[in-house]
Amino acid sequence: MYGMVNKAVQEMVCMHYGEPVWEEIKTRAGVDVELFFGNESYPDDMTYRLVVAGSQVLNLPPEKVLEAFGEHWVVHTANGGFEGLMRAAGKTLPEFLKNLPVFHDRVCLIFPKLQPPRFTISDVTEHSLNLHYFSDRPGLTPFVVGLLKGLGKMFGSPIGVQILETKATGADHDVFHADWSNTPRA
Amino acid sequence: MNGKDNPYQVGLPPAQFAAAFPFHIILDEQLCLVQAGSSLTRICTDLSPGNPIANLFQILRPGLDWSFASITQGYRQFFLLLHKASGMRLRGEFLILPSSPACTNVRQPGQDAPNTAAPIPSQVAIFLGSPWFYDASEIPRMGLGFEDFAVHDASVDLLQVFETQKIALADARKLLIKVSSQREELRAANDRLRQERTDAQKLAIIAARTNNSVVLTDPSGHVVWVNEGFTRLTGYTLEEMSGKKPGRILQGPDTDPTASEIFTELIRQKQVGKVEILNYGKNGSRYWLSIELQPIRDPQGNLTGFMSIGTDITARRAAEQRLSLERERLKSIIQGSDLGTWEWNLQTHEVLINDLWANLIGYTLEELAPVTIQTWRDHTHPEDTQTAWEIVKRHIAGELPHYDCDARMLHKDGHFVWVRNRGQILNRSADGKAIVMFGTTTNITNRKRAEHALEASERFARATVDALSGHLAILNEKGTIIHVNRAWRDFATATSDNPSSLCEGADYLGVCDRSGAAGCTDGQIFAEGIRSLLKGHHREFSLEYLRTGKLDEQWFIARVTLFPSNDRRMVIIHENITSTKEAARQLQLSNTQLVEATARAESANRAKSDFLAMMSHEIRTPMNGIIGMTNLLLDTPLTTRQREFVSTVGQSGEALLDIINDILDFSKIEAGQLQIEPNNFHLGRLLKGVLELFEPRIRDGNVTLTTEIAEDVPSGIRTDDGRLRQVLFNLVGNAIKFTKQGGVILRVIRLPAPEPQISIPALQATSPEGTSGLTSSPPPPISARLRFEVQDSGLGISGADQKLLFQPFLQVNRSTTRKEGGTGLGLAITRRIVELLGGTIGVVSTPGKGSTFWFELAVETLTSTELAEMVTLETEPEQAGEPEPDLGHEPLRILVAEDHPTNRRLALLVLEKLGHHPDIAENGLEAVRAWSERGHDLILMDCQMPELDGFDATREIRRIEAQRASSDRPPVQIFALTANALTGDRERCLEAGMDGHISKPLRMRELRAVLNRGRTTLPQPDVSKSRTDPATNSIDLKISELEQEFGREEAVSLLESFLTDTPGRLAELRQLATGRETPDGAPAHRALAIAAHSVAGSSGLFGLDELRSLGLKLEELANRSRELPDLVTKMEETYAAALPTLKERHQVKPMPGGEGMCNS
Repeated sequence: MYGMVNKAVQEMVCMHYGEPVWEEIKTRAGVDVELFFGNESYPDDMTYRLVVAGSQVLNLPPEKVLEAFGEHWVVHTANGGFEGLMRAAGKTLPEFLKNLPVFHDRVCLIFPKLQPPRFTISDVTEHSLNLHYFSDRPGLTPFVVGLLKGLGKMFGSPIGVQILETKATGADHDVFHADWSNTPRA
Repeated sequence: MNGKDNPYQVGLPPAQFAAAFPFHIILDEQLCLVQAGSSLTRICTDLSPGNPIANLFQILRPGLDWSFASITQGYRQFFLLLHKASGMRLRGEFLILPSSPACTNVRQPGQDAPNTAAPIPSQVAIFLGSPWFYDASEIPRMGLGFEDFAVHDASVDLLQVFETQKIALADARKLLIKVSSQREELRAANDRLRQERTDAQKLAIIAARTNNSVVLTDPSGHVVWVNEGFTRLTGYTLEEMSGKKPGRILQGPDTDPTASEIFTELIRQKQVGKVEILNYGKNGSRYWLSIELQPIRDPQGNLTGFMSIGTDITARRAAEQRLSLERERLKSIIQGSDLGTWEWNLQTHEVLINDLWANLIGYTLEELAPVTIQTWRDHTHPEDTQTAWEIVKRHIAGELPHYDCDARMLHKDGHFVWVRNRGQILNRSADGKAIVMFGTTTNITNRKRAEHALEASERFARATVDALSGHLAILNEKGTIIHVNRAWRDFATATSDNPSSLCEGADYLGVCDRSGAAGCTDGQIFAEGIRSLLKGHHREFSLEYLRTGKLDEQWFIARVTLFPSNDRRMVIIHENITSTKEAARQLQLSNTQLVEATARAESANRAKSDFLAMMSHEIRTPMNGIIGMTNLLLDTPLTTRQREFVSTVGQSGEALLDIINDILDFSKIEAGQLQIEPNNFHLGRLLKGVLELFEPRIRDGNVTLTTEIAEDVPSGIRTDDGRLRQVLFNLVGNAIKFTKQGGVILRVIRLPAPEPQISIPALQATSPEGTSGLTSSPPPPISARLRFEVQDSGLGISGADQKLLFQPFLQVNRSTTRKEGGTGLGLAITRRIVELLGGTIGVVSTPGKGSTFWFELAVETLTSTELAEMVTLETEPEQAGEPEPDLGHEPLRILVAEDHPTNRRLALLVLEKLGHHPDIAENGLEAVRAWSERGHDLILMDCQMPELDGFDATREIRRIEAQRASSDRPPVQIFALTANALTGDRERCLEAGMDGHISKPLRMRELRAVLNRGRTTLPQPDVSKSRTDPATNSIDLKISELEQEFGREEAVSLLESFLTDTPGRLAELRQLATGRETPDGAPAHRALAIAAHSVAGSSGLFGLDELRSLGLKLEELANRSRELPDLVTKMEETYAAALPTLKERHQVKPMPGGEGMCNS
């Protein structure tokens, strides 16, 4: 997994809980990395260990930690470095979500070592769509939920995310129903 | 491949061209805008066809001005244009193409057909490009989106790559900063480390060289390093300490455990701390150490060990202790001595006193405040103030080393107290002025009083000494006179030409020496005596000496005594004892005469005793013959007249024997040799025996003899029964002797209980142990006071005569004496015996009406158990004291050893009369020989015999018997036949090995008792086989004996009591045998032993022999062990088996055997 994910974890913990807690999580996770490079690839296992250690130190369920990481990733990390591109990918949340598969395809150009998940959309209506998430990495469903909620915040559109299907329940991929019908009209 | 070779001419319809190049620009030859791409025209709204390009865009690269030629010239060159209105940069290239209608019109969005009005240029310049951004944020800012770019246009993706690289760069920059920062930190850390290493080296040198002891330990407190200072202080080297805990090596018995615990706790808590502790060096020396403990940590904060720095504070501790002790001592001295202290600043006039100073005169400090020198002046006696001031001034002036002055001070209560002020100047100014003076004030009132009292005492002593008639002088340790009294001075003046040479200041020892040298022995002795005192050999000595004067001689006694003090002073008193000497001489003369008289008297007394002893032996021996022969003669056929003569001879002999016995008794009493021997006995039986003795005398007369015994008089008592019998015999005998008509009553009553403090010395002193037998600590004996009265209806005695009654050798009526006989000793002996028994005796008499002689005794009363035991014992045949039945079965083999022919003959006659045929031996040797040859059952042994006396003969027989220990024969019974009736004879006989003694003259009754006793020691025929039931026989026999002893009625009463009592006793045994404690908590086995003893005792009384042995067995086992044997069932069965016989005996008439025995 690319370093930007781990960075997101680090930034989120440092922002909300402080440097010592992050050091404690790193120690507990057995991660001895001073600084994550966003465009460097790191073992997936490291990310999982950080999540588990964060869950233990912060006394939160791992799902909540992953979700928080996803949200933070969008709002602070991705948006910090790739805001322009993200904004170029869509002026509104629905537009961005519709562009998400293409956007993600193009991201693959930048990160050649990425073992990319794949997104498709379906059932697009004026206020909702279904997002299909295909990934070989297990257990990142809450992370995707966090990503979607982060996008909602980014675009100022409150979004409701409902998990329709998951690999954990036997489906071959995860399906999320994103609903932004509560978005205030301009 | 180029276009020429390509058979396919690729052309794009305008819509596709516009979609493929959304940011293109087409210019005509005039460089006016012909057409622009859709995305471009959406952003750059001023791109209207016909507008000169130069108004719309600026060529940023290359450096050309707008002209078609320059565009043509720059064909296929890189162009960077700037849209002036929006600021958008476009990168691309110009292509020059021939004009074509399809692309000559600028299309506006929504325009479907080109503007046909405009002329068509011949050729056009087409700019193919796309926007150039430095930052991705410019895309949305320009209002662009992904859809504005052709898919083949990679600029957005490149921009994203660029952004990514920017972020990576930023990360790298952050890392660089961090690395730089860490490098700086590392450099600083290195610098610090270097500095610390330098410092550490310095410290290591200091630690090694310092006098403080430094110890480094590992985290668990084991030594890893010690410095030289440690080794110097403790004597232990690093090698000796390495790996050890310092406390275990250095601490010792006096180390305060608390300090040690604090130190341990500091190590446990890993804390910095300081402890003072007493340690011990290798050589055992003790030293105090102040230890500072410091944990040592690595940079990560982990504990790596401890460092302790110790400072030797032994000297400081000692100083502190001394100082503390000194302070305490001073404080206690001041407190204990009521010492007032004061301090006076002579410059500021400030005065300080302590509370004790104020208390001396009854005030508190507050009451005296403010204190000034005037305070002292106000309270000091005016007469003493002036004196004190003078002394103060002289001390300030340096004339006196101290200010020291006694003074009277006015107490708050109004009286004066004596004080002693002492003080001195503390410091002076540079010019010598006294600044501070301080000192103490002590209450010396008591001392002053004592001094005054001493002066008065000395005055009194001098006056007293002067008043003495003796010549008194006091010498000092050198023998010099330091004081003399008036008598001494007067004597010196009267007898010496130079009186002062004998008074104060004179060398008295020298005077004595000179006197001795001049030949006066007394003077020499006196000088030696004084020197002996001075050397401490004696404390006093005296000397009598004769002083010869011009006209007379006078005796003096000189006493020299050291004073009790240690200053070796001594007091000498010469007293004139001339008159005393004379008196003593007279007294000595008298004493000499007295001693001579006493010696004569004692000699006479000894002669009397010897005479009595001689008389006893010499008279009794012939009397033995006379009485014995008379008795034998009376058993032979005699005429009436002969019988009368012989009877008179016998009576005269008996009377003479009585007289001899009286005299002997009185002699014993006078010599203090009469011993009281208390025994348990039955009182009624004793009284009965006494009366029986007199029955023959009153049988034919007109006098009756009766007894009256009160009901509350105890049956069993303890006193000397023999002496009691003697007293009663005397009194009853006297009464009968002096009563011709009427009666004599022997009466016994019990007096009210004696006071507890009444003692019975004679009885208690000789009471044998263990007579009760029931308890290990018997209760104090119950005593009773008994009054015995012998009342007669005789002549009576006058008051004057009553006073003479109990005096020895005096008889009231000499004519009666002559008529009735007697020594006049009877009542005197009786009185002495009663007194020896602890009683009193007296008489109540009216002349003509009779007399009542009485005596009162305190006696011990026997318990029922004691009585039962005593009765059991007394009813044993061999213990019977009264006339014995002659069991007379087989004749005994008896040897009579007697040198006196008459006595020998008498013994033979008596024994033959009793059916025996004795052998004869005329001396001890013959007796031993005869016994050895014939083996007698019994020997009657005279004590005084030629060749070998009876004592030695007995010893020899016993010796031979001892050598024949294996013999089946029982030891021969030996009884002394002796006329030696004096005290000690019996003891001598027993000591020699005899079994008893018989006093001569030989009486038939006494001899018969001895013979029966001898018989019982022999094997008896087995009578049990001839009886049907031994148990029944035993019961019958015992009950018969009881009837004989106490009468039928009493015996039945006793049996009744036994039958009532025994079932309860057995039930008690049953309960105690369960092992439970008694209600009062006493151990059951002890109570069981007592109860078993009780049952055994009472069973024996009634012949229940088996029950008795079972009881005794149970008692013995219970006493020895807590395991209580089950003998109770057996006892119950035995009792049940005997019960029918007992009940039968309870109801039937007296046993025939009892009657028979009574008559014997």
